[in-house]
Amino acid sequence: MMPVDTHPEDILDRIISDTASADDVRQFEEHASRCQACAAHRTLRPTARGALEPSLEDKMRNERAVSHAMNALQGGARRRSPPSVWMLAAAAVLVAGIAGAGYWGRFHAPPRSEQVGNSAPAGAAKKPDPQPTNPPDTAPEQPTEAVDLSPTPDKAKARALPSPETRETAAQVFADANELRRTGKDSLAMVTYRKVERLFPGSPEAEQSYATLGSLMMEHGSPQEALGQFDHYVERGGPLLVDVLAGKAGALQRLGRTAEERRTWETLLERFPKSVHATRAKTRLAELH
Amino acid sequence: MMAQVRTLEDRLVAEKTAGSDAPSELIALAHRARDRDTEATRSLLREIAPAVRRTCKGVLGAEHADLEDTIQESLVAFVQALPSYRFDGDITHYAVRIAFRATLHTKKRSLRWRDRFRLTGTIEDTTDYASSSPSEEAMLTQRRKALERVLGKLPREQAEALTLRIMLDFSMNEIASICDVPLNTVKTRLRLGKDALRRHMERDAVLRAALGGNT
Repeated sequence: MMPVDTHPEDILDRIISDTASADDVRQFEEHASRCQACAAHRTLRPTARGALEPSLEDKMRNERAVSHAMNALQGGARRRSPPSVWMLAAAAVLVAGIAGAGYWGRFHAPPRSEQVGNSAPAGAAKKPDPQPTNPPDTAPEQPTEAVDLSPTPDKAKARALPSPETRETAAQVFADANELRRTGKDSLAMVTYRKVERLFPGSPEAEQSYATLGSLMMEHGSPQEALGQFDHYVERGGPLLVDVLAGKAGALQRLGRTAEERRTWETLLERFPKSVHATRAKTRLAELH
Repeated sequence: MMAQVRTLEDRLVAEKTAGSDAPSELIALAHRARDRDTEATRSLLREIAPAVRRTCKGVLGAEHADLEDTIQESLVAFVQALPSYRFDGDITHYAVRIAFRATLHTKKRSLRWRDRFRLTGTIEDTTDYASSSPSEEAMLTQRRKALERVLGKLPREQAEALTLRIMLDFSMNEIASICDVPLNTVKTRLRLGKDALRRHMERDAVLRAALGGNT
């Protein structure tokens, strides 16, 4: 018999990891009927859990957050360089020409580092930067430089990146498309996603549009068209790749292209063995064999 | 003495459990990121960003005005704290720990601003239990506020353990790894925290209704 003041946290652990037995659940329910705290935990948990589920937009926002964080880290490195020396170096470049620029660049210009700003002392490093970073809906201050800091930059990709102003507009049109989708205006949303793809090729918003538009087309019974969208995304890759692979496999299933479907599920399992789609992939592969 | 041995064992189990899930690629990325490799840093941030977002969203709520800023601050703080990472626990939990601290910092900052501009009333008054909303998010926000109201009266460690447990749905081992404390300490904090929560709910019918307790 479980005393009322012992909260069954071990059972809750099993409930959290979906390994609880029927007896576990019964014991927990019995305790919760006598314990207000655990009853509240039981009530809050599903709602909180649902709210924690990532959405498609979250993945896009994560990309943006990473981009802003990288900019902030690089900005921190720049701030450490004395601005007066920076200005002096720039003036020297203008006045003295290429030779002078070479000299000042070597001895005074801030390091065009391939490093990010994690050189703060270990003890002082734990606190977050108290200064607010860029708002999420605005373009980063130095987006192109930040992108190009890669030690092995993909020059072709870098050239394809739109300017900050264009990216802002792409974000706006993309937001419009999302809003249309959220309010159930799917046809208009599809037109708007296509607009993003057409007007801002290569932008993160356009890439995301291929994934979202593909899903919408699937919902509207157009697996062939959806497949085109998914294929485009798979070719370029991106943070939604696992979801898009699952979508692609679903489209192939509807089209009856079994061999390709099997290969897609296998690719998904190979690349993302622990994804949320893994179980579905295994089940479907078992059916196909 | 026995208690000390148990604590050590629990800690080892907690660390082993936490570490065993940490993919080696993440650890390799973390090493390179600590050595200031930009691409590795970017890749590492992409990997941990979902966990950071989950933490910030779970504590602040999806509609919080400072959610995106807090996520970005957490990512920056995580990179800056990499030199302090000992590579003996799950790096994602390390990121969650930093995000959790950053999120609490944001909450305090929000409360300070709210205090500054509030002319009358108390923080508790801002929780309107009676108002009903069809939206699940709005309901969760109300419940979150009600829970925060109680947690604000508990010792910080207990409040943190309960937040990680109830709002973020972490297991006890995960909480031990995130808080960098032994498993037994987590158990104690949860037990004391829930005891206090139960006492508050037994005394306060409004709170009980808000948190979905037994009637």
